[in-house]
Amino acid sequence: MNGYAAFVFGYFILFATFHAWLLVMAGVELRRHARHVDMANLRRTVRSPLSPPISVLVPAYNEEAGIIESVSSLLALEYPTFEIVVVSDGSKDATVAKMIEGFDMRKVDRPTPPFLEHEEVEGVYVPNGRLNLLLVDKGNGGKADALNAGINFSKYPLVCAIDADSVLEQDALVKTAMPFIEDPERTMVSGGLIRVANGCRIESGRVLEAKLPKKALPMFQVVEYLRAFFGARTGWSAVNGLLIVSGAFGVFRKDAVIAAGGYNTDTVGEDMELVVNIHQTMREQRRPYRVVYIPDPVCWTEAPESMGVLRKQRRRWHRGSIEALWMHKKMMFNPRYGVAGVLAMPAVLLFEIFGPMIELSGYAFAIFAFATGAMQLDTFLLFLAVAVLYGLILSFGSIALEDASFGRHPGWDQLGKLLVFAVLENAGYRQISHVWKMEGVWDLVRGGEWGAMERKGLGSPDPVQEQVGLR
Amino acid sequence: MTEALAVSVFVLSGLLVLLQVAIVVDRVRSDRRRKDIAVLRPGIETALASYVADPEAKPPKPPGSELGQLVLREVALEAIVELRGSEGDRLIGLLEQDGTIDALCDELLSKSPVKRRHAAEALGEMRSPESADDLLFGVRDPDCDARVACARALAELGEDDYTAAVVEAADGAAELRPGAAAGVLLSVGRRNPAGIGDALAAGRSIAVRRLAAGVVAELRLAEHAPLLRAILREEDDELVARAARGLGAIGDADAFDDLLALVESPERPWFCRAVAAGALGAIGDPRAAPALEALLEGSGHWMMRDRAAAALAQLGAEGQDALRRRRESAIEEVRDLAGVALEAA
Repeated sequence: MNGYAAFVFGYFILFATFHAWLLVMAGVELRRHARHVDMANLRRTVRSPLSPPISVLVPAYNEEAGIIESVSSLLALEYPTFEIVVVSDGSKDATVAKMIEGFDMRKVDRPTPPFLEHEEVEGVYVPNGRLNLLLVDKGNGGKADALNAGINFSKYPLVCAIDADSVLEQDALVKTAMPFIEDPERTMVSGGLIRVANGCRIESGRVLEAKLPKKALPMFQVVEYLRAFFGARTGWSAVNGLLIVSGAFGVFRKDAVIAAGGYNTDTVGEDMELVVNIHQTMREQRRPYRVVYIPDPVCWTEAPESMGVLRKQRRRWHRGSIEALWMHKKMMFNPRYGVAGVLAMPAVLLFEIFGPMIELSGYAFAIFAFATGAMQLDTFLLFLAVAVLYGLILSFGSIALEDASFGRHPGWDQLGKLLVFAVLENAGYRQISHVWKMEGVWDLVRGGEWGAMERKGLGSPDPVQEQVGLR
Repeated sequence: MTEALAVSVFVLSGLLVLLQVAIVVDRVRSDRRRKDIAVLRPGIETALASYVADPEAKPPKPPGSELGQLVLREVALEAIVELRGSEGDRLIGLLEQDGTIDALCDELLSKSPVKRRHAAEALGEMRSPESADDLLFGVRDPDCDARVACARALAELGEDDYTAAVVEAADGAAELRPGAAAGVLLSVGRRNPAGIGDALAAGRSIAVRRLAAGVVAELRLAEHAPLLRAILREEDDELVARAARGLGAIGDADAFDDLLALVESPERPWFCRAVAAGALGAIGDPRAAPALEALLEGSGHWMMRDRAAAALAQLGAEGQDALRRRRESAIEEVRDLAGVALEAA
């Protein structure tokens, strides 16, 4: 029993030290970002002919209710040159019909480029007017499959993958494109901040008033997102160890995605799998590269408001993380794969995959030990206090970083609400999240599918090439 | 174990309290600053707008506080982007008179490289000739970002005398800060187009030459077509591709033979040949049709075929005839691409 207690305590020290380091790295990176990026830079980017053109990919399945609004707001994004590629993934409703009618589109003959595999294309549509818009109607294959089709039909060297119900702020593309402008040869991926749209006033695909959610469940998710984005992803980006860019909003170099074989349709964590795959591909090709997270550009998304939906989401995310690690297990602890292989992937395995298991078993152990008299009450309470206090420091630290850098919750009441929910999170929400993650593991084990073999791209074996000349 | 836990709780509690205090203090400070700016800004905006709009108006009194001067600088930077002609000149004249330009030039000597960079960027937007000497000194700044910002600001002045120093700075930054170096060259290309020739010259680094070729293409600087044509025979494929693209953008008919040779060179990578095909299409010389038709049929590479088909569509009757022949190809991909190109033509 003492042995197990020592193990849990030792794990906790490791966890605490590691995340403290990550938080410090995040702080350094945020400071660097704030000094480097300013309004003048953004104004120049919007005006510059050197800003790389972007294809915004919108996978859509049964989105007839909101597709016109979503696409209309995307067409109004502030960026010099971009196109919107909507991919209807075998929609059974009127998504395609609405698009054709709403944007006055006509069917054209367009051969399918061979770069990535996907379900068969039923039709390609272009607008009769001058809109930079393309509609691809294909058989159902899932989000990853739809994105692969979008990549095939995109015409620009950068692709931005978003969800159909994502709401991008007008300057989101400009801000996310900055790393590609600063360092076009090395930057392969750039991700932005995802914020919870619940409680906000959204009209015509725009967030008119940003507010915190009224309900508790999405509020807990706001705190989680702040911790994940400001506390973790910013830190990982600083050391080129970022393993995930959210599927709701991320910009990629198209040739890097094609070289990595595109989105994997055999996993539910296709967003993480792609980024890990890009790390692997770039390292194997011995190409200098970077995967960055930009804390400034914002994409709004609806967070689940019911326990049932949230549970499904968390099970899927956890399962997706495990699948992504498994599919690239040869990178684990392998110095050939740099920070991603030696540090990031082991950290995800140890703290994200095993962490919930160890934490829950720690609680169970402490309760058992206390109940059997093996542990005194004061030791038990101190143990719980340490766990909670440390979690609070991570949450408060992330809130502090966000507040100091961007101050997107200007009211004192909003700040107070965030801090209160950061405390309340430890009174059940955190623990139930861990249980859902364990269910995700069980789903994987029960399903027996450990992911497909590593994918190879269908294109030529050429190393990733500059495509600036092919604009 | 209990003692260790107790100490941990004590330390963590202390840290948590410190963190909360830091959050509150930072929030109070930023709130105060936001309120102060909200008070200052409307007055500064109105004063500047009135002065710029009325040639008879007297210059407004400069703000007394440091924050006021920062707000003035911010408002002026936003306004300068939008103003043209005499209004822009009036605003720059005002900034010279009230000491804003001088203050920025002083900041070029600041101990903080971030401040030096920001000052250079602001001077770049303002384009005051009074800042030239200080910027010329600044292109030797030990900090790369500050150096490049000074180079850009100097390039924005458009004087031939500074071009050598500016291009030198861009060359030095092209590997580390390619985006920023490209921005410098873009400014050179816009304000003093002849100066780009220095960046394209054979003695410069490959990195800066690639960037310069890209800028020539974007700005369609026809005077540099001879340099681009010479580059087509060099070894660096990326540089060659960018030069080809530039020649296509310029529409340089004299480059026809060199571009044709590039399209037909099996030793060049696909992207070079694809870009050259696109350039031939842009130039529009129908003599390119046979070579492009051969590329469409025989290359076996989607991107080359796609570019060849699109280029043929731009060559008038000969190109369209070639596309119609390729509609009978035994290869489905060729038929499809030819069909799409014919439809677009």
